[in-house]
Amino acid sequence: MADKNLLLIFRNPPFADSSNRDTLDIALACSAFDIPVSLIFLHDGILQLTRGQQSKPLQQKNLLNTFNALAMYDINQLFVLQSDLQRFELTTADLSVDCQAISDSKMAQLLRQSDRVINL
Amino acid sequence: MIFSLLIYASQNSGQAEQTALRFSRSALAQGHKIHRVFFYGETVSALSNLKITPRDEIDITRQWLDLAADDDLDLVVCISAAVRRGVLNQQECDRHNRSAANLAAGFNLSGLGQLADAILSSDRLLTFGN
Repeated sequence: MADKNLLLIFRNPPFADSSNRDTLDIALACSAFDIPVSLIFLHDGILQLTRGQQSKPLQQKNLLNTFNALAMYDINQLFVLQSDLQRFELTTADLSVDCQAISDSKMAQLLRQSDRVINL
Repeated sequence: MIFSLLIYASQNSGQAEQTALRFSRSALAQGHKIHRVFFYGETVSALSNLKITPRDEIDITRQWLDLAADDDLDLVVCISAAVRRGVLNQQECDRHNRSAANLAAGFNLSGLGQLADAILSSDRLLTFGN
């Protein structure tokens, strides 16, 4: 394992721009270099994970397949905020990927514990 | 201190890249090291040598190259971000059978592994995004 860990922040909704795909690619590349990677989905970013997204009408690639495959890359630390779940009237059961719902203060702790943070 | 920079912003619609350039000059002037500058996302579009900058405007790409020449900077461009935007070096031009290579000389195409290496090899990674 590398001596530095990495936190990646997703804060844009799905299909809006390329930042989610670009951030996901960083996660896969860094994990291949044995860097421990955590992901946190903030604000509209949480919508990236909701179940049953149909990307075909938009003729866009559905990133959900890759998010679902993250465990195969040893990326298991996925976080969402309880406050964001409430805002969108969601529960973690509405999300397609296993995530830990954390408080805002736990997020502050997560940021402090991370050696590197990337927020595209 | 050893820094690496991740440049993600569009060159044409914000000042982030110019800020990154100023930061680099200032850090180097104070004796810090810059391990790598990694160009990713929309910023890569501006690294074509076919780009024409109006005469009364600043060519940031040129300024990166001037800084690199003075301070031996490693300017790395994400290869997948580049080829999807039509910014090709000779090798990618040949591989994809295109009519011309247009990556500005002085920049190197490589993979995201170079960003992972920058994360591991630097004391700080600074992102200049949108």
